[in-house]
Amino acid sequence: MRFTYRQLADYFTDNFPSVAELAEGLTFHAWEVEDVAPLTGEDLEFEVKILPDRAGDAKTPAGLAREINAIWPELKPKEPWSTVTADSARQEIVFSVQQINDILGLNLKESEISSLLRRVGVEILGGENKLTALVPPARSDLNLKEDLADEIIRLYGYNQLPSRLLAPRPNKVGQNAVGFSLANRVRAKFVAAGYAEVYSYTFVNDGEFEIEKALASDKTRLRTNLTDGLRRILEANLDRALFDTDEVKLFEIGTVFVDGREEMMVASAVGRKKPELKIEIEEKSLSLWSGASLPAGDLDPFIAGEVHYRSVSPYPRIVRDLAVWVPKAVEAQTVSDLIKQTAGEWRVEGPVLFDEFAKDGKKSLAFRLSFQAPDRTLADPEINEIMAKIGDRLATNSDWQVR
Amino acid sequence: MIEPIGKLHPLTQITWGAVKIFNELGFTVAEGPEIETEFNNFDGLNIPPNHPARAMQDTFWLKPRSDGKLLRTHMTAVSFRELAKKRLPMRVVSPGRVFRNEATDATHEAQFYQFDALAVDRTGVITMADLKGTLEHFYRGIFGADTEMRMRASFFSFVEPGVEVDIKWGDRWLEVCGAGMLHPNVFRAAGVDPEEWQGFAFGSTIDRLAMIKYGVEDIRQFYQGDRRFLEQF
Repeated sequence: MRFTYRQLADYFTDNFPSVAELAEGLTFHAWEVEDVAPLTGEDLEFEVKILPDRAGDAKTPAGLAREINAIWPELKPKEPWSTVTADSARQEIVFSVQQINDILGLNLKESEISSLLRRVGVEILGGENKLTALVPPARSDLNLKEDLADEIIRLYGYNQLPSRLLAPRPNKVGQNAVGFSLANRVRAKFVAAGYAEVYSYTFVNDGEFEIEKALASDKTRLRTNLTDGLRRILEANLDRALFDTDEVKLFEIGTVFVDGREEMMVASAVGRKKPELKIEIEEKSLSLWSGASLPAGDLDPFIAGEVHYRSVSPYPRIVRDLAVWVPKAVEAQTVSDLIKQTAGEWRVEGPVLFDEFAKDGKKSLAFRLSFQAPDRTLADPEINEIMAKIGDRLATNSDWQVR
Repeated sequence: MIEPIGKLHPLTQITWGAVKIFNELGFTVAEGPEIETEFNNFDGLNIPPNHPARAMQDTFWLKPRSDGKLLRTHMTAVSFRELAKKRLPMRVVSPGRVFRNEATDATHEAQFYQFDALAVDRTGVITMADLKGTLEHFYRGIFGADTEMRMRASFFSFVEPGVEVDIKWGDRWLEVCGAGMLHPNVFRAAGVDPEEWQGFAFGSTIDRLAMIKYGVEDIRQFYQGDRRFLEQF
């Protein structure tokens, strides 16, 4: 809903909050202010995300002004807001101070509770153990003591609510679901064996379960196996591998939908292009792994430390090889580090040492590396320049020769 | 030439971290089916048929629509199943795949992962203050010990009071969670007396936590299986 600042300020005599105060107060105590945009004549427009429970009373300037007065009770409205009486009340909610404090984890007094509720136009009758809230006709969302607790805490302020960590339950250590624990043991096995875990899509173009209003014509059904998706992912990775001899090992644990029911499956895939094309995929139900010899399901050893994430570029990659003669005593790592330092920000893979041989007291080292820009297709001359720079850097060692 | 590197998917890594924190607080992991009933996903959670979240564009219904079967839209459906078992008091955390019928882009996927946590005890034992403290503890565990968190007034049908939760990341506040005290109507639908029991519930999108923590800007990357992506974690 859109409201203008002046329109709202006009309901009050003076001391209307500033634009920033208004946006912040509404966001914390009522609804998110999603945008504040300038209008002509030095006015501003507020985009306020009125939530569905308050669609009935707050989606008018007067309704929002009423709410603003609840958040800033010191404001004086030009016209007094209508008050609720036992006769006009939409309904009565009977509650106690204890019940409110039980929900919130606070120790509010009766006077504080009554005062907060009066700010939203709810009248309170009775005393401590049996209070009656008179709900104004416009507030169709207030029906239970929990609804009153919501009004109280949002006006009181969540920032004032104490933080209490749930007390531990020393004698109540339960078991995680069997499937979850088993899946983690299977994960530990595959990751330790060099497999990378993938998550693929549930929606496919064929299968016995069909969905209404699919997002695309090839995503109308629920997958009946993990194998098909895993094969596609494996092949895509093989096509992107730096060397045709690279082996790719993947696994997925996920739900498939077949024979009228769903089942958690485990699929693994191993592939490479050379020396001969090999693609092996196995899939079986997670439940069939329960008798297998598996490691404990502790995944801590496989959790990444600090991650320096770099997004995978959608633009083409340029692959280059570089060979250099160095004295026998020079470590390949030393050469590799120098290449890395000089290769610049577009280097995405390598340098990978792929060939090494010794001759006449020297050794030849061959490296492969690849380049890719995050935002565009690189041109060959740009990479030629970088390769020349790397060559120059290596050649500063007088007994190294770039081939 | 390059030996394969064994890697856990980043969403598995975040899930594992979350579950460890909750296990220490006495929560156990619960599971449920991805195909749900309309009742467990909506009616039981105090989401009546005219609620905006039930509009056709948000939910993947299975054919035929008249069967009332759908792909769960939130993990709160599993929390509800657990509540209906009436093993009280209870603390469960339910991680899993959920589905929303939305056009996909860098920040929206039609499938993603959520966890939902539910803690129920006698009246007055588990309160909004416990919710705040528990959420702070959780987000500090995921994002670092000095992470700032705030709660804002909000509305979700299955809780009352209801809040949205933001964490501060760099100099920005990012919304990470919907939370609140489980609504009495949800207790009743599960066959539990809300005059005797109360508790909190909250749900967080695992993909979003991973995107924030690692700086991943496109949610679709999680489902491509590209080794160049996976090997960074």
